[in-house]
Amino acid sequence: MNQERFEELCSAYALGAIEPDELKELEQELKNQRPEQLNTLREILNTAQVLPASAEQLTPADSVKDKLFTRIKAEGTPASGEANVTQIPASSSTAPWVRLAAVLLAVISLVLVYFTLNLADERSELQETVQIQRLELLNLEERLLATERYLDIIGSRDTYLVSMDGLDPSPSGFGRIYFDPESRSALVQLAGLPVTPSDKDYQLWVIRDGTPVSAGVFDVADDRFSFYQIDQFVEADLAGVDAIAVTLEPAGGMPEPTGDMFLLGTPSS
Amino acid sequence: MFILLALLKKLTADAGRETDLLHRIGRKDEAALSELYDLYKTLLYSLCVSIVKNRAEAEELLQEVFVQVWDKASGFDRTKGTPYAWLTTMTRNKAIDTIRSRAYKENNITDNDTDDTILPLLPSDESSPYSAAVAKERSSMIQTILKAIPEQQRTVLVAAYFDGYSQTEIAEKTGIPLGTVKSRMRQGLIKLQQMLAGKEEQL
Repeated sequence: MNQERFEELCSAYALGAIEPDELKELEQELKNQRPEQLNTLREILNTAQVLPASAEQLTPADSVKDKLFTRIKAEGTPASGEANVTQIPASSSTAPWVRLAAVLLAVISLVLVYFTLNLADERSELQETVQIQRLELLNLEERLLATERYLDIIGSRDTYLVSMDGLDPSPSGFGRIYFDPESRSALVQLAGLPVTPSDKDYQLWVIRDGTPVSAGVFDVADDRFSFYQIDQFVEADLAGVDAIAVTLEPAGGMPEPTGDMFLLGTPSS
Repeated sequence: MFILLALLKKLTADAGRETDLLHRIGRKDEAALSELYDLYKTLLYSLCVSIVKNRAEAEELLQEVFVQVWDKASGFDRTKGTPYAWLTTMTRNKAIDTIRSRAYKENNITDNDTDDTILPLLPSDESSPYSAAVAKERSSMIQTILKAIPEQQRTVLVAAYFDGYSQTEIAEKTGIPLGTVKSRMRQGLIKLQQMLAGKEEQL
């Protein structure tokens, strides 16, 4: 399959406009696990994700939230229809079989309505499940690809390893940098750092001759292991570097460090 | 791709916090649902309005989306995608289901209805001045980029994403050959990607 055709399939998929036969064609093609194709698909999916934010920004009425919570609370209680059925006055002059038939009819109607609504919900849920599973497949493929890239960096014969220890704000934190001078790629491993606040980012600094130079900005989503790859690392040779540090800075990073230092290490340590 | 990633990062800046909210909602924490609702109500409601083109319908849909979030949050898995992607996908699917089931697609689309579809000229009534400014600025920037895409390509993107048409349906509705629809869809997304990358300085 040529690149143009592959991009057409990815575009249709990202916009939810792909035909079933073409979806099969795309899935078949992705089985080849070609890195450049996975990268193309990821870029197109990322681009399409911007579209929801393009709509004119409007706020719903406050009553929507009130109704939502009323409904959620109500769903935790018995259905009102059942209560109505049992509240037919016993003193009614209607014949017993008529009352019984009415009750049965009401119950059957409720059951039918329930199943009709459920079928519609199930259809919608199944569509979402399929979409989620496709995304899961892509996610797994991306992770495999990333792992292969990480192994390339770690496995290179000339790779440097720099360890960073946690400082006062987070003494249990630590980090490692694997730097491959040949490809000038670095793999950064961070662990034990607090989750990045919404208005902040962690920033990596390479310090040479007392001057810090930014080497990248990271968003830590959880305090377990996080890996980040940096292409075109700021230093081609870590041998002359004084230290490497991680600070917490305003979102997007700063030209020079201004926030608390969380990790610090030296190439010789 | 740096800028696209940066923009996505802005759109999903609180993924960790939102994941935590979803986990709490999965444990039936109403305060967490309230917080997530406040975070996403504008984005998702605006998306609904863009698709169903009716505020009352959009409000019903928004309620449906959050009822589903309440029911399904325990199954949310961060490794499968961000809360942003999960919520916008769920919302779009419900909105597209609505317009399909209610036969909203009676009118043929034309190359001229793009602006009304994606850029509805409705007044904004954001309640929080800060979030209003940020959301409007972000929306305005993406709208500007979209407007700069050739109209023929933009029409196809809008018809697919906001009107829920497949490529075959777009070809039938517009009379454009299917191959051309596919080509314009690809060119449009690539153009959007390139233009987002060109907005680096503004981000």
